[in-house]
Amino acid sequence: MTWIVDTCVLLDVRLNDARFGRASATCLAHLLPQGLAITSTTFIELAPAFRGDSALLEAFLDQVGVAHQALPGSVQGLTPAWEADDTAHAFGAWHRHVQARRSSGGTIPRRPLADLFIATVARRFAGVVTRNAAHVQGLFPEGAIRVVDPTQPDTWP
Amino acid sequence: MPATSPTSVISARGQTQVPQWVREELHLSPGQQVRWVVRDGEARLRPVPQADPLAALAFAEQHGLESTMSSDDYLADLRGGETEGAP
Repeated sequence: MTWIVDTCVLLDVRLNDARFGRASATCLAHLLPQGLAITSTTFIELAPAFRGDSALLEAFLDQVGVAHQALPGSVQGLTPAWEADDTAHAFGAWHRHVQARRSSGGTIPRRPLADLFIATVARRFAGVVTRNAAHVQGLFPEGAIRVVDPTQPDTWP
Repeated sequence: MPATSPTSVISARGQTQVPQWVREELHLSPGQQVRWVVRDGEARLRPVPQADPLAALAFAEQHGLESTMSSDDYLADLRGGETEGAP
């Protein structure tokens, strides 16, 4: 079953990050036979890293082996589109997160909406590949979304 | 100047033939995956490479993309301060 890849992991590869690049690429190679995909949120977030050239980004995603649903007619096969049910799940998760953060006295940090969009879709797939496990686990109940951390091989399936 | 050829015909099932000279130019062989991209009223056909995440580490260098920031700094810049608490 396909894994949703978080933006940070693809940035590790795109930037050939000195600290995380090889670990993230190795993790993606490990998961490749099961299928890799990104949401439109990640596709949009990656625009500045590819000079705003969607064809260049698509060529990169092809080389990594990541499916996406970004541009009409550009993808065949499995693509993680946003569904109506996702809105209901994200609505509840965002409310719970903001409530918890406000009552935490500052111990729970703000989370970006991008994390919410990515995690909401990932709950319908095998899980999410990210180095920011806390971001996902802070938005949805523990165990709702499986997290694979490229820097923690013991989390790899 | 872009290479052109005599026109091809689309069948009732939406099929058409990729001319031999195009197959040779793009090194296309039977079974090769290709991607169609439609932009500005034109369709482009691009061979899909064999997926290899480790080889993709060299993508930026091969395509002249800047890579001086760390990925965490890059993401923090993208998301504007919303990554407070990120490891």
